[in-house]
Amino acid sequence: MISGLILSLLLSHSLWLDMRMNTSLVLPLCLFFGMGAGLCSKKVPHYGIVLLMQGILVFILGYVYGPDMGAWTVMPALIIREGLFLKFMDLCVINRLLVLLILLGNRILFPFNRFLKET
Amino acid sequence: MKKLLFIAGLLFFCTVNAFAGPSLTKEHPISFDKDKKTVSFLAEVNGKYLYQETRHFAVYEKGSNGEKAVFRGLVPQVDFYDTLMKINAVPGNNMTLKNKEATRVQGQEFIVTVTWEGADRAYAIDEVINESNNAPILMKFGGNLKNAMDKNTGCLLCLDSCPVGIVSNSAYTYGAIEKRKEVSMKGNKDILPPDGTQVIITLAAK
Repeated sequence: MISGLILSLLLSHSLWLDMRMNTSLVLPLCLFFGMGAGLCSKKVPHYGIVLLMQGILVFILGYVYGPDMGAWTVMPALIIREGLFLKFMDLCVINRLLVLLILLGNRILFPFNRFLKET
Repeated sequence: MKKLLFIAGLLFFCTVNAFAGPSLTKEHPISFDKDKKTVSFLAEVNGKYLYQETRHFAVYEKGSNGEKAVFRGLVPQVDFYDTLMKINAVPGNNMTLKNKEATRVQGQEFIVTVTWEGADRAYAIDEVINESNNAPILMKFGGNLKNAMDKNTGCLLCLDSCPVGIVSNSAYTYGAIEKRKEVSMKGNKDILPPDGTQVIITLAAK
């Protein structure tokens, strides 16, 4: 999902591409390949890579839209809505689901138990 | 007496609302006034283009460019063209796919305004679009019915001269926004309402 968002944001930044194709379609493609890779591989992605991807997403949002919080709250939700054909869904609902998914994903992947044991 | 006053008040309220502007619905998304030479149609704000540039002002939602405009129009391009003809607007029909980059659209010029429920007033197109050169947007009736039907992009109003859009901006030739980067245009997020809000776009013949 995060890599799909990153790619969609980068692609839609090109006006020429954005006017000719639905750049948000990269999102479901990334989801599809990610799920396929997850099913085929028994290994869980290293949490560092997941953290890095999230960092890249934040960086790209900042680079493309600057400190405009309106864009931060609207653009990722719009890309998800367009890419996954969720026209019936309100942007606020999509934002809440996105935050929930990110928090849940981080909770599942981050080795809290090992971290607590070591400290 | 109280009943009479109540009925009089209700009638007055309905009359005021009747003059508040055309009431459009998804089933009847377009209206016109032949005497005032105006056409109004229903559209929705596409929040994406309040933060990103585009060359489309309004596109029919089911056209191939339906999600590429500041406003998703709820009226097909053919109906939009026919309604403009009903107010005796004259199309320029001077743009072709071959001459598009060297030609400015001609035809009846319109004053374009946008309003929505809760808006203070109707806003001019120059107010709702952030034009990087601050040049006035000159919307003219290009016509282009055949191209509009063949390409089926759904383009209603374009922000530079266009051989497919029914109405387009004659201030710039085709390619000014996308190709040559002479200007950039996007919706004014400080004025326009949020994504999905229904608006009424009105074209008044100059």
